[in-house]
Amino acid sequence: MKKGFITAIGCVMAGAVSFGILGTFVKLARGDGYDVPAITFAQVFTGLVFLLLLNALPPGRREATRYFTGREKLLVILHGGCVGLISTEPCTWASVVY
Amino acid sequence: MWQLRIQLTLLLLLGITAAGLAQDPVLPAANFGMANIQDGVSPGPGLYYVQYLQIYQAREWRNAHGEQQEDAAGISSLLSMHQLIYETNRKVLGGNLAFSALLPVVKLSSSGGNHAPTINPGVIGGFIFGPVIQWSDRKLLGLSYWHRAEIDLAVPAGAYNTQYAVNPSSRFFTLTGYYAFTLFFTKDLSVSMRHHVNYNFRKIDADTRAGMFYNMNYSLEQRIAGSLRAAVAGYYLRQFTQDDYRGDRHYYQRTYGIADTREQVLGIGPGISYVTKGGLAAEAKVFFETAARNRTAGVRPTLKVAYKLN
Repeated sequence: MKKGFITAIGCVMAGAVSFGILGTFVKLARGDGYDVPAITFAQVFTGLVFLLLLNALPPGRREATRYFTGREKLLVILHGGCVGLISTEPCTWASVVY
Repeated sequence: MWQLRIQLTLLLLLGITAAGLAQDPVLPAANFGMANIQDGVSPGPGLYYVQYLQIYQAREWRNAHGEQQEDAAGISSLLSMHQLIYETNRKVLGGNLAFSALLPVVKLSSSGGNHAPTINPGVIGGFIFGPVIQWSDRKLLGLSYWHRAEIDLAVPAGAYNTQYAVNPSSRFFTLTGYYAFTLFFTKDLSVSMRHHVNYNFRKIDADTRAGMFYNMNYSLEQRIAGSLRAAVAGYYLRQFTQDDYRGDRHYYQRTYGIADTREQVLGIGPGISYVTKGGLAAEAKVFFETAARNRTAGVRPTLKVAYKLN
């Protein structure tokens, strides 16, 4: 229980740091002359590569592969959609012009 | 006039169309290498979500003779295309009936200082939908053959405003028919193609019409390990007919001295695809354009992710 609790804290911290550092990377890239489409594409591509690498790791002692229920899929889509709206798509793109 | 045309023939990825100076209409967006590797293959009936992410950066402008033009403004674009596909068990012509709907989201960016064209800050492109018939695991010359036919209508319902030189959405309807297939030479080696024929309707509130055009995607893919595949992939575009004004296909030649308004481009590059155990299919490619006529030539990195929702 304690180990799981610490792991959860670590995951939240890693997520917060990853999300927070994004703006720094974007600002530095803009300063180096990259435009918004190039930065956004690099951001998504890097994320996809990391996810695929994580997915390719051997399962080890993790629990057996489980499949999402329809409700879980909907929640994941809603969550991912909100994060995507913040970081990559219409909201950011529209705000960049102002 | 030539400079005018090349500035208006902006890298069009998806419905990014020139406005205002409508003397010589540009082609609407098309599927340039968004789907290549094992394009004809379907995992079976179900509801699928597919996302395509494609960036385009022009390197040069080419005229009707393939000559490079010097002083052209630069534009780059990022397309995020969202697609829902529902494949049913209902049989039509021996295949499974399916439906597809696409919503493009586009971010445009321009450079070139005072010469940079004005960009519409809107991000929604035109809505595209249509019926599909999917034939799975058939035989052709004794080889495994997967194929699909679809008719799409692109509705110009996205962001468009005549005050901008470049818009995310077009201002006219486009009807597209396409046929895609994957032929397996062996279990590991296959070839895929997708052929589109596109008919453009007259521009709304204008008398111009972009010519009919053909575009195709191709891929020769080889399995490397597990579900990892490497491919040589690309696309080709060729406009069949001249652009017209009030039905006159010689108008631009006669009025502006443009010998040929038809566009052409060839893209080629490497690609890889991978399918996870959970069923997420990912595809990454980089296309380098050449043989451009009346349009830009550039680089087009592309990602595709597909997942079965239900």
